[in-house]
Amino acid sequence: MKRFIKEYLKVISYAALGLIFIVASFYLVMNYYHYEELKRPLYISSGDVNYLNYQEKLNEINNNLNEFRNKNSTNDNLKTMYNKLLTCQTVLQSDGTLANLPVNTYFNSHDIYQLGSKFQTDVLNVCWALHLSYLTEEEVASEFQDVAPYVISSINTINNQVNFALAEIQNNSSYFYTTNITSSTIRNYLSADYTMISNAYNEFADIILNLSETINKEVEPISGGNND
Amino acid sequence: MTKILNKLFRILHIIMLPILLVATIYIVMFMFQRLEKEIFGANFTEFLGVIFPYLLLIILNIINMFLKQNNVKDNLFYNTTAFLVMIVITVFCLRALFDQNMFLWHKYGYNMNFNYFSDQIAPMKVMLYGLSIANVVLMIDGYIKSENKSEKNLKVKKTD
Repeated sequence: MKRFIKEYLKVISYAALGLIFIVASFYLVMNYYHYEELKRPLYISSGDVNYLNYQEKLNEINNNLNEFRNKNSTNDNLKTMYNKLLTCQTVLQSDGTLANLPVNTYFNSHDIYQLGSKFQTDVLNVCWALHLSYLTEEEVASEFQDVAPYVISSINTINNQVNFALAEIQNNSSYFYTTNITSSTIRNYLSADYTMISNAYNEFADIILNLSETINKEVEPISGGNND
Repeated sequence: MTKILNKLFRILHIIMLPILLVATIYIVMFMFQRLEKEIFGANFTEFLGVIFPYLLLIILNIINMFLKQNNVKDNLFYNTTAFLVMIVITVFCLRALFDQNMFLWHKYGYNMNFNYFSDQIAPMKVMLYGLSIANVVLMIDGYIKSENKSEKNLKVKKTD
């Protein structure tokens, strides 16, 4: 009887140890796989359409603002707008925005989230809320009465778009058991979130571009121009 | 070679166990703080549930050391498995504390991934309780073995 118990006890202990060994090995491998997968979920190349468009728009804004400066306008409304646009241009080109995205590398969900929150904190809070939100007022300067409704509707869309993308990143990046489907779904969502955020940058740059074109259209060049 | 490996794994897992207990308490403390739970209050049993398997294994290791449980101490499979479990728990703690690629690491502002860690508590408990059970069973096995030996010695003496 004792011999039977003795052998039975050995079987129990080795079975328990074997089971733990399997579970531990499983978790070790799973964690390695998960870590490797999370390290590089999204590749953004220098040929990314949104990235390139944004750079082009920034160049155009730069050209328009230079053009306005050379015209030496005396209109106070336009000069005020010019100064505001100049600030916005600096914000749009600052570190952490789409303009300075280190392309040709892999991005994880946190990088994309940072890109989106930079848009909210700097572009929307500084450029829009501090400098351009006066366009929503009823008594807006006559020069901007045509463009103001477009700006307001675009801002609302952009804001919702970025909020949605950021919320999706928060909800979407928590997972552990990486089946092929969950993994690819998360990558696809992250890619869509990046597209949404980079579109928001582009749409905002469109607004600034539009305003910079407006101030150039409205200004009447002083006779003799810059060479006086 | 087997003896060296056995000793190495045994010493390493004995050293790692209290260190991991401290790391676990550290993470769980912040986890409770975020959820506004008091450790030494209504949620003490929940906290105890996390650290109890560690304490149990530490107590069993102390018993093995002082009561010279050679059946456990010299068991290469047990020591290897225990070492592997410690490695896995180390990975859990390190990822919860330092893996910034997981978005939730950033989410709550504690620079720690509580969601990941709380997901890992169940497998951690399973592994630690499993080791404790195997340890106890091996101790009983060793006790029965030693009893048999003494019985045999008695019989030999009687026949002499």
